Amino acid sequence: MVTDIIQAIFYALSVGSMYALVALGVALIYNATMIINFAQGEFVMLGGMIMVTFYGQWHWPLYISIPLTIAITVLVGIGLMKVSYRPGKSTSLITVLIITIGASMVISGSAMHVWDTNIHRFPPFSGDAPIKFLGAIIAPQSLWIIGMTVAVLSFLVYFFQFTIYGKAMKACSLDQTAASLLGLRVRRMVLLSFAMSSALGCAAGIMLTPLTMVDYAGGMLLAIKGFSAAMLGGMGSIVGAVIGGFIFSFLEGFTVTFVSSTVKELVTFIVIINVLLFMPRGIMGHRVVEGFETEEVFLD
Amino acid sequence: MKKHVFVVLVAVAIALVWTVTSLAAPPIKIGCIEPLSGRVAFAGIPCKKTLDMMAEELNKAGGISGRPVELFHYDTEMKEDVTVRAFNRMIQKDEVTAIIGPLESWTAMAVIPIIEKNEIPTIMTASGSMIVKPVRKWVFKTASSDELVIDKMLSHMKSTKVERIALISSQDAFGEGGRNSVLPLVSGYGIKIVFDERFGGDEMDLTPLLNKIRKTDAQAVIAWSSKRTPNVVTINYRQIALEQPLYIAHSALGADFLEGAGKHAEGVFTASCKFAGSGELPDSDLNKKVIEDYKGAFKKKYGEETNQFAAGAFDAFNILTAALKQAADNKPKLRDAIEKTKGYVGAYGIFNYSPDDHAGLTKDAIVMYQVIGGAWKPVR
Repeated sequence: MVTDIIQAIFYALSVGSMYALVALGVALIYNATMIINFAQGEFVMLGGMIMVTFYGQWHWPLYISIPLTIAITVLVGIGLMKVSYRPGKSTSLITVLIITIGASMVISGSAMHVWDTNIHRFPPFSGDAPIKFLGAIIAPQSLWIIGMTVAVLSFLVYFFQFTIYGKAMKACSLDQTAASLLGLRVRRMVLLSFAMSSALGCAAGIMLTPLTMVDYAGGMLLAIKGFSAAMLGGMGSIVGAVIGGFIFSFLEGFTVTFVSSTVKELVTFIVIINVLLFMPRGIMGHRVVEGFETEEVFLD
Repeated sequence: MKKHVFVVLVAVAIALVWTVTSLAAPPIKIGCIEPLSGRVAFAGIPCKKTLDMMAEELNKAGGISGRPVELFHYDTEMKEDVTVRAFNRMIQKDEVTAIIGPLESWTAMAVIPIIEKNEIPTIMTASGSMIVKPVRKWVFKTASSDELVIDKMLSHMKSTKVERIALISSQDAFGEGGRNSVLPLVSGYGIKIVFDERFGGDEMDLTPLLNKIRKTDAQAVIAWSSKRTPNVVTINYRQIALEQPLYIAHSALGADFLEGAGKHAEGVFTASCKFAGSGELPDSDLNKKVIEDYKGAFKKKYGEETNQFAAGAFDAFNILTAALKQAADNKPKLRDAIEKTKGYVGAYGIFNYSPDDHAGLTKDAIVMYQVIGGAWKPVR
């Protein structure tokens, strides 16, 4: 029983980190632009696929292949920003949403032609030998993923709370006109958020691939899970994105371990729908939303 | 006046062209539908190439009683609705005489009602035994049924003294089909299922599910799924160090599984047709020459290797054209001719269709495979 619980916890921590990393990327772009980026999962896919080529097939050392993979993905992220973010041109949020979904299809479709339709993997960084802990068995790669989530989360919290860039980015999301009147270069901030988000997604892809494998079509599925996690945690909240990811994975892990994998999605989504019914802005969500009455805005 | 002459000349020319072309024998139209995009495209594209190659050869050799065959290719996109639309289009617009495909069990199941309603002879290349069970009047199939594959696996287990097994399967038509074939067969081999659970077909981490198997006294595990989950199962299985022999579905018999699962694949069992390991069959094997010839022809034409999925299309085309030679494009006669196919030596085995059997193969067509030294090898 204890072993079961520990095993379920470790599963939840590693899978939750995976959801959280995607959710963080979604939250990051949302924080700066109010854009919900459905192409976030594609960054993860690209990270995995490019790494498969560089590290898995060409056997380049890690210290070359990781930065190069991230650089390429960031370029794609910047390209995505160029097509989806157009201040001044009255594109509604729903248009931008559809642009990101379209971009997601373009990226995965191109990936199919650049690579192939097969499933790929490269060997984990610290070997495959499972670690035993109180009877539970843990894949070493999941420790990498958990560690990375903690690091990314701490960095982002620090970034938004204590650095001038983080504060500027937040200001841009609250009111872009006011921010630019105060001398903030909004466009540069938006560019930074897309770059950070794609680098984050890419790094997640590099970490995940040895554990979950990668193929050209895997991005959308991850984006949906990450988006649900971000919604659950509260759109735009950095801590919320991580909490959302973990709630998701804990529900899944414990349902599979103690009930049955057949009802996994059912249980998870029933809980999530109920949470969102009673807390429509998610667990850590801001109380401010465009178009709300002024009193409510000042409450926050 | 000049103008009139011109008009008359044009009219004569059109009339001439029309008569000349209509004098040439009209082609026999065959609809072909395979997954040409998406995750299964690696299997569908060789099917299309195989059919193109064979049609070209057949037409060069004079076609069917002097009539060439004309193929109409469609992509299932792996989706039921797309496949249904393509079937309607082939039947209504292209007016095909017969159809080959599809390859995926789930799209195959979706189009059965249309085939039965429009009474169009169809030879599917999918593996799911529910396609021909119960027997549908107009539907035939080539590829080895999952039922035969499972039968072979269970007899292999019995020969290695396995009495209790765990069964995990995906929640889609392929997984369900496999599970439904295992359940009635086990008792015949004196095997008990001690664990039976299903999982989502897009799962990325199955550790918690596999961990539950550890607590059972199962002596072997059958994991029945397709797409990426065979890789996920295999990798997780090794990661949590389960020791029992692992039997996975024949959908994994290919190079992409070996690449995806890497060294974790070592020792995994599956059962499938003779195709993949044909080079290691004894020369006395009737199918060996057919398979080797087909592999050689494909490689010569396209410069790449074919796979066992395309072998299903190879057999379907041969069975269909043999029947077309007897019945031409009379659909009811064509259907009867297909049903009377006996002793056709194909790439998948020896086919004998009958009114109660539209799959045509027996367990003899199946071989056990194991990953040894990073490659699928036939084993006893």
